[in-house]
Amino acid sequence: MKKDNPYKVPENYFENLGEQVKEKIKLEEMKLNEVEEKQPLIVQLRPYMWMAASIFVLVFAARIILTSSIDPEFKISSFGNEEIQTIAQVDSSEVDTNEIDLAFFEDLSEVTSDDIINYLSDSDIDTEILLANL
Amino acid sequence: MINKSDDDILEMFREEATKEEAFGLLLKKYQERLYWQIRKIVISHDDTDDVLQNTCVKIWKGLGNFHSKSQLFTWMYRISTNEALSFLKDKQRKSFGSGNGELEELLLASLESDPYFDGDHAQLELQKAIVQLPEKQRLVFNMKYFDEMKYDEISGILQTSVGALKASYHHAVKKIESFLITKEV
Repeated sequence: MKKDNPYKVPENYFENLGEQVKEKIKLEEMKLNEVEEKQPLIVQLRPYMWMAASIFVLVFAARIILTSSIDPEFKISSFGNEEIQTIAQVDSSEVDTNEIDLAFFEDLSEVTSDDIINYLSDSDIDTEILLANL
Repeated sequence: MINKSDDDILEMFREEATKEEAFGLLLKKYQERLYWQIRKIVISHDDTDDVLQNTCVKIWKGLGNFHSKSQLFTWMYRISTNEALSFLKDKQRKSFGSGNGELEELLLASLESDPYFDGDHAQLELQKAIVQLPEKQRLVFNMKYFDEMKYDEISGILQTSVGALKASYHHAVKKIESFLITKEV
């Protein structure tokens, strides 16, 4: 079996290869430079500014649409302070509460979630009743 | 000038002023061997040209960071081999669905349509037999049989143990023999 290489190469291929490779490397480096070239900050930020502006417009539009579609009678802001108090009083008078509970609700703003957890675990509430009332 | 050692060339490459000249010397010294390594893998000259140029660009980019843990030539051979293999994978993926997805068929087609194949009938049959080998066996067979490289060298390039290479070569020879025998009958 002959070991001769049956493959051939075009004439002068190896003579010209160096030049071709140099060209290719120059091209690659030009591409790299183009990407790396620093653009002014304002140009770099432009897409983000457009994004921010469109989000702002969207939120604003959503707000207008939502406010105008709610019947003014049911808007919380349309109730006066007195009305809210009356409603609250009516509600609390309907419920059978004792003084401890009232004090508890008055200080609700100072209650941390740890307090709630402690309260619930201390007062030994029947979980089945809790679940049934969910 | 051309007979500069690899170390001299590397030193020149690290100086900005002589960088291009050094790369030119390096190419002159090794381009043919790299070419044949790639050509044996991808078969057609045009594909080899593409892969070799990409390989050279990679060598240019990586040479500055090359520290002679392995030989420079081994390192360049490894880049060529990897580039050629990934080129084939890419080609195979692109032709998938056109009914020509088998690598073996792709290579056979390259072999038969390559205007730069100038062998006689026996040589063509041998190349056909080589083309149908599994990838690793094909690589080892070409490097051992045609390039007459030592197992140690091949081991450095393919990062496979010498024992495994010997086994691959043995299998390759057996397969080629049986391929050629069935053809003759």
